[in-house]
Amino acid sequence: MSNWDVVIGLEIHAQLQTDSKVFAPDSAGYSKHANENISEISLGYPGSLPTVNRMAVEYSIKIGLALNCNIKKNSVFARKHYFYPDLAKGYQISQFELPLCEDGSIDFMLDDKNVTVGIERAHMEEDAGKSSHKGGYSLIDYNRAGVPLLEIVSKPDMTTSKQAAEYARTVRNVLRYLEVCDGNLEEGSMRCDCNVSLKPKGQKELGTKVEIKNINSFRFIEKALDFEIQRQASLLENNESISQETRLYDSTKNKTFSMRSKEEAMDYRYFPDPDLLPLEVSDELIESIRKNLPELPLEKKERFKKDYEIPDYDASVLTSDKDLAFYFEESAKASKNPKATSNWIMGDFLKSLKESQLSFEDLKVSPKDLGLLVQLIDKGEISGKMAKQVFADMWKSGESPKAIVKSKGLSQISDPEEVKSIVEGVVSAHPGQLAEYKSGKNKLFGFFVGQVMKESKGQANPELVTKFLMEKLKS
Amino acid sequence: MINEDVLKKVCTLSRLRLLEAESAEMLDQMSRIIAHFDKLKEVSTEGVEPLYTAVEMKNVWREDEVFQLTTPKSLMKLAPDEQEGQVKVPQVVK
Repeated sequence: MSNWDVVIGLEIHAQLQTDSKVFAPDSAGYSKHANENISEISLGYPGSLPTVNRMAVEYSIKIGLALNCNIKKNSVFARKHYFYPDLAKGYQISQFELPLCEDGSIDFMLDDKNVTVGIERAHMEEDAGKSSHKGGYSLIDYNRAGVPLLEIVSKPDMTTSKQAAEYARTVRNVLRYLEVCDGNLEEGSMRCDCNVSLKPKGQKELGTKVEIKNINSFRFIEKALDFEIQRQASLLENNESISQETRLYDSTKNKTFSMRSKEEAMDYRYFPDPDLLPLEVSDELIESIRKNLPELPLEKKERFKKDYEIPDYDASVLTSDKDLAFYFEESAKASKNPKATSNWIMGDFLKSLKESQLSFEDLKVSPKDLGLLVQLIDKGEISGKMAKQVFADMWKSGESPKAIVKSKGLSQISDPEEVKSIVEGVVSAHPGQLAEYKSGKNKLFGFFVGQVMKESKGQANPELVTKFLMEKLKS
Repeated sequence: MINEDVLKKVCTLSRLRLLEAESAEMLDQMSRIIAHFDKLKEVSTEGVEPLYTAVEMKNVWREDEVFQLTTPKSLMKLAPDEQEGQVKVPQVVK
C-alpha cells in the first residue's frame, strides 16, 4: 500500500432514543407487528403537517456539544427526494444547507498515539421504513419511518481502516455515555457508511471516492475498508480507473460489490420543507444542555488516572463503556485498592462477561461484592488462587464472597503459629526427603510446599509456607 | 440547457416514460421554464438574505409524547395492496 495515501471519512446514523417519532406522535419504539406505529403524518398523507419533537432536537444538540460542534442557532429542514417506497411521502425530511451542528472534532488514542478526527456536520433527519424484497414484489413496514436520526459526518481525516473502526467505537461510546442512542450496530440503531479513496502518495487532490454501506459491526468496518483499499489499489496499479459508486459489503464473502453507479446517482432535489418552520435554538437552551452534559469518556479516563492512580491503559479499558466504568468505581470504593480491582475487572470479570454475553443489568455479582473479594485477598484471608474459585462461584450464584469462603471452608490459614506447626509436622514426617534436600537436591523444596498444601487442604498462606519452610530446611 | 439527453435523464430519475410527441412538447415547455428562471437570475440579490419560509413563525414544537392520530388499521385500508400487515408494492430491487 506504500504507493498510495488512503483517505477515509465516515457517515454515522445514530437513532435517537425518543418515545415518539421526530415529526409525528407515533411511537418510535419497537413493535411486534408491522405497520402499527404509523399515522397520516409518517405516511405523508396530503394535508398532514409534521411538527418537530423537542426531545429529538435536544438530543441532537447534546451530541453536537459532546462532539465539540458549533450549534447553529438557525437551521432549516429540507426535503430530500427519492423514489423508493420505504418512505411513502416520496421524500425524506432531512437538513441540507443549514444543519444543526457543524465543525466539531473528537479525539481517541490508537496504538499510544492521539488521533483527532474532525466532524464536518451533524444533521437531523427521519429514518425510512423497512422493506423486504420477495422476488416479484416488496413488502414495506413503516414502523420505523419517521424515527429520529442524527447523521454525523466526519471529515476525511482517517488514513487507516483501524482508525476508522476506532473512530466509530469512540462515537458510539459518546452516544452511550449521553444516553441518547444505544449504539447497536447489529440491530441498526447505529449505522455506518464508509467513504474511501486512494491517491498517489503526497498528492493533494483527492482520488475518486467510493461509499461502502451495509456494515453492521466494528470488525466489518475494518475488513470492508481493507478489502476496498486493496481493490482500489490493484485497479490503480493496473492503470484502471475507479468509478464513483456505492458498494455494499457482504460479510460472509468479505467482499464489497457495486450497488449503484454515479450515472444512476439520484438527484435529490433538496429544498427547504415548507411544512416545517426554521429551527431556532436559543443560547439559553444550548447552555442549559451544555451544563447538564454528563462526564464524557475522555474526561472520565483522565479522572480515573488521577483519582485512582491507575495506568493509562487501565483507564482506557475501564472507560470504554459507561456501565463498566460505573462498575469499576463502585468496586474500587468497596475494595479500597483500585489497581487490584482494575486487574480483576480487566481479567476474570471481563472474561466471564464476554463468555456469558450477559449485560450489566443481568449480572449476579454486585460491584460491591467484587470489591470485598479484592479486600479478602488484601487482608490475606484467601489467596489469589482461591479468589479465582470464589469469583467463579460468585458469578454463578451471586452470593457474597464471605459466604462462599465460609461455606466452602476456603479461608486461608494466615496465623503464623498454625502455619509453622503444619510445616514442622510435614518436615519431620519426611526424614528421607529432608536428608536428600540437605545433600543438595534443591528441587525437593517444591515437594515440601506440596505436602504442606495437601496437609492444610490448600489453605495455608503461601507466603508464610515459603518463609517457614526456608527456615526449617536450613536449620 | 434542456436537450434530449437531459430530458432522458430526468425521465429516468422520475420514472417517467414519454412518447415521442410528448418528448417534443416537454422539451419545449421545460426550455421555457428554464428560460424563465434565467430571467429571474438577472435580478441582483446582493445583500439579500436567503428566505427559507414566508411564514413569520418559528419553533412550533411538540413534546415527546406518544399518541395515536388515526388507527393504523384505517390507514392500512388505503394501501394499494397488503400482505401480512405490510404494504405490498411492485418489486423495487432486482
